[in-house]
Parts: sequence; C-alpha cells; structure tokens
Amino acid sequence: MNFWDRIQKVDRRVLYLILILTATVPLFFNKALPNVPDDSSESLYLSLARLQEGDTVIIQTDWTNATRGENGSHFEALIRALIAKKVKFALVSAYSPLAPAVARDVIGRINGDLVAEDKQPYRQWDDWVDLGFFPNMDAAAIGMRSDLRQIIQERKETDPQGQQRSVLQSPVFQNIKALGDIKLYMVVTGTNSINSIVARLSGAVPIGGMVTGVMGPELLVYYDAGQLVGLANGLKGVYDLEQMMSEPYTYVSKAGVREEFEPILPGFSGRGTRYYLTLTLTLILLVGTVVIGNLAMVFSGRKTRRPR
Amino acid sequence: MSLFLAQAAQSSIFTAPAQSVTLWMLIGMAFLVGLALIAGLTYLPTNLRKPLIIAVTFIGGIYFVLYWLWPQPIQYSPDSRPLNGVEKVGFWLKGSQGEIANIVNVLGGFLIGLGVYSLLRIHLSKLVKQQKDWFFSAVLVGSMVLMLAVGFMNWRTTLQDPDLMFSPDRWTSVNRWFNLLFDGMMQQMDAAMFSLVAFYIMSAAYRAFRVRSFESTILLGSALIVILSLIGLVVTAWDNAILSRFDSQFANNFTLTTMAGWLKTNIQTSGLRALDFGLGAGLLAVSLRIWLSLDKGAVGNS
Repeated sequence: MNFWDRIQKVDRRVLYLILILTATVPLFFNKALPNVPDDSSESLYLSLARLQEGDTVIIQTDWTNATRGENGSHFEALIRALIAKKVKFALVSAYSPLAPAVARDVIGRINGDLVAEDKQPYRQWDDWVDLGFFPNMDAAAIGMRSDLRQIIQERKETDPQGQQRSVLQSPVFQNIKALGDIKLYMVVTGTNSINSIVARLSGAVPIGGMVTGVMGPELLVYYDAGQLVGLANGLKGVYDLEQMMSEPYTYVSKAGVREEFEPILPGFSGRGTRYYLTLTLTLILLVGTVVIGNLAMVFSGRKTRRPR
Repeated sequence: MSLFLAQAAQSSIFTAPAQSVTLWMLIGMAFLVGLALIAGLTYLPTNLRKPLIIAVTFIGGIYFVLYWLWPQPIQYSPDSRPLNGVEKVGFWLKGSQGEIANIVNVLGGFLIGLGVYSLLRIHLSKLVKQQKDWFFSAVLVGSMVLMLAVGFMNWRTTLQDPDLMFSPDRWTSVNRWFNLLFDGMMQQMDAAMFSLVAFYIMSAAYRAFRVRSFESTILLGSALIVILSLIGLVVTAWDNAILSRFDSQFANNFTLTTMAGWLKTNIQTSGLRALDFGLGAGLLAVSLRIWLSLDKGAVGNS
C-alpha cells in the first residue's frame, strides 16, 4: 500500500476533526482580510446608503437558527445600518413560526449593546414595529401590492402608554399611504421565499435580498434582470456589506458619475468580519480535499472503476 | 371595496376591540360554527363529499385566476365608481384583495393548528398505549407543552413592556425560563442540526467529487473557479498577479473575478432561467389540474 492508497483510505473521523478545527479555531481571531466586493453586494449597499432619516423599510424575515451563521449576520448588519441611519422599519415574518421570535431576539441584543454604550435604544412602536407572522405570505404580498394599509391595519403593537393600537398609528407608518411609499423591501431568508416576493411585488417597491450561499445563485437571475436592487449572497455578502459600511465609500457608475458616502457604521466589525476567516479557511480546506482526493485516485494502485 | 365587504370590515371579528366581551363572544360563535361545520362535513353522505370538494376548490381558485386575467382598474381608489359590468367585476376583485388575503392567512393559521393536533394525536396515542419508543413521545409532548406555556407567558410580559427584551436585570423567572428554553436550548439545537451538513459536504468533497469524465472535469473546474472567487485572499493575489504581469485588456479575462463573473452571468443564470421556465410551466399544469379537480386521488377517486 503506497502513500496515495493510505490517503484514499483515511478515516473519515480524521477529516471531521480537521473540519472542526478549521471551522472553530479562526473564530478566536477577528482578522479583516482583503476582499473584492461582489457587484450585487455593492448594489445592495448603495440602496442602503441612499436611505434617508425617517424613511420606512419593510424587512421580511423568515430565517431561523438553521441558517444563523449567514442570515443572522445579514440581519444584524442590516438592523445596525438602519438604526445608524435612523431609518424606521417594520418586520414581517413568514414561512417559519419561529422567525418572529428569532428576529426580535437579535433586535433585543442590538438594543442591549446600544444601552451598554449609553446610546438610546431603538424603540418598538416609535422606531420599529413587528407586523407579526403571515402564514400565507403569497396572498399577503398580493394584498400589500393592492392596499398595504388594509393588509396590516389589524396588526397591533403596544404604544408607549401601554395601549394596544393598530400599527398604522405608529410613527413608522405615519407617511405611508401605499406600498410605493416604502423605500425598500428587504428579504432576509434561507429559503426561496424571495421568489414569490419578486413575482408579487416587483415594480411596486424596490426589493433587496439577503440570502444564504445556497440560495444566492438562484437569485442572481432576478438581480441580473433588475428585479432585485441588490443581493447579499451568503457570508461573503455580509463581509462585503460590513466592509463598505465601515469605511468612506466612493461609487463610480458606468457613466463615470461619482458618489461619495460617509461610513454608515464607522470602524464596524460585525459577525461577517468575524466569520470570514473561518469561511476562507474552510473553503480552502474544501478545495484542498477535492484536489487531494483526485490526486489520490490518479496515483493510487487501486483504480476506481469508471462509471458507464 | 365592494359594499358588502365594506360593511363586513366595520363589524367583523378582525375589528372588535382587544380584550372586549364582543371579541370573546365572536370568537365563541366562530368556534361553535366551526364545530357545527366540521360535524356537518363528517356526517355528509360520501356521494356528496366529492362534488362539495370540487366546488370549494374551484371557488377558492377562481378569485385568483380572475384577479390575474380580468382587466384591472387603473388608479383605483375605494371611492371610484365603475362605468360598466367589466369595470364592476374589476373593482370588486381589486377591493376584495385585502379581505381575501386575510382569509387565506387565517386558513394558513389553521394549518399550523392542524399540524399541532396531528402531532399530539400520534404521540399521545403512542404514549397512552405504551408503544415502542413511547419515552421519546413523552419527551416531545412534554417539551411542546412546556415551550407553549412558557412562550405564552413570556409573550404576555413583553407585550406589556417591550423594553424587557433588552433589560435582563428586570427579567422575571418566566423571562429567564424562556431565555433558557428558547434561546439557550432550542435555537442552539436548531443550529447544531444544520451544521451537520458541513460534515457530509466534507466527506463528499473528499470521496465523491472525482474527475472521471469530460463532463465531471468541466463541472469540477467551474466549481473550483467559483469557490476560489469567494476567497478574498486568493482573488486579490490571483488578480494582482495576472494584471501586474500582463498589462493588457485581454489578460483581464483571466482574473478570477472576471472568470467567476462570466460563469455566473452567462452559464449559471441562463441554466437557472431555463430550469425556472420548465418548473413554471410544470407548476401551471399541476395547479390547473388541482384547481379543476382533474388530479386522480385529490378528490377521492383513485
């Protein structure tokens, strides 16, 4: 048995141990790595950077902890950016009944950080509202396009006086008459739920996506067609956004028009930055294992039968 | 909005004041009507069930079919007046959209209830009859009841005081229990389950992703280019090496960014578009068959 034979027969537990070490050890090092942002991430950043104080954004959040590494990081970066820009937002949850609680947890944690830094927390009712869970988002989206206010008028929130009132009376929806008044409809998801939002709401409101690396390729179709204003694809998308948001950014359009943006979150280093080293090393490990596996197949004495 | 629906919206179960007697009465009435309906359907003669299901399915679908096919009123407002019959239907379709969406969402809510009922029925029966692995059923039912109770009580406290979410120093024992069960256990187990996928991918990458044919070589080459394009370190090093050594527009074609971009834009998206068109056509055919009750087995005929 030569070296390559032994490599071919390596115990899978050894592979698993290498994977565990590669995925966990880098988490202890918060190291920013060189990066070239994707076009789709840049477009999403521009949509966020162009939002003005007092604008209202709807965030459809239907991720749970199965995709927390990517979607949790997306959601946190998005919420921190909106808070920094004082943009009001409304949460809409769909597909998983766990989604509203998971999203509220993240906002609670961010508010906890703000309070710890002696800053004002982002107040439910005044600054954001939770529209709750929509078991059939398809029908709700059609209804929103037709008459947003009618769809959400019965959704209640607690006002500062402790009274349950319609979300339409909150400052978040003060100037919103129709879906067209919403500046951005963001979908944070680990599923293909964004497909139905594109189908139902495209053209009525700018739609942005924050999706897992698995779903990203499928959605590039909509980004290429201009139906999505931007797309943060997987953990790389979060890292792209965090990098652009933490520094002054200059955008030069194809026509040569320059736009200068102040940092949205100066010096910010979020989960995307923290996890990117892990992603980098894990992907290198993945490429390495594919290459070594193929070399072992070629050089080992035990030839694998070619499939017919 | 049509006259009927405008009236319904003013005094429906959806608009009754929270915690009011009216609301509880309406809920009670809706519950009784629901029970009567279920009893009626249960005792309906078998030969009447099929036409009933066909009729309900058709009526349920016709609204959405008409919504897409019927001429839509432009710049519609609830005060607009239709000029003719076609516009009248168009106005009704447009005006009813909100109510229809609410009804569909309420039905969706019932499906969650149905899921809970079904789960409880299976596991409680297993528990009562002490069947094989009844202990796991006991754990499932116990966890479900505990999570429901703690979740509901926690929701009540945060409803009255939303700031509790980020003020752990003011938490009561209910909030702490919710934090332990939902954030501490359920969320972590959910994430842990999904992370197992990484081990399968690793094993598959090592043992199954092999260059055994021309097609698999192309697939492997493309996959490696796209994977490497996600690694900023590699992209920066590769692109700089290419562009610093060959100072021409042609060399730009061999940067990782350009190659991965070309693969994604020209190969991947066109392939996915073709797939989506196929899926869309298939879905349309399946939807039509379900709507018109042509599917064998869907309405009791096998």
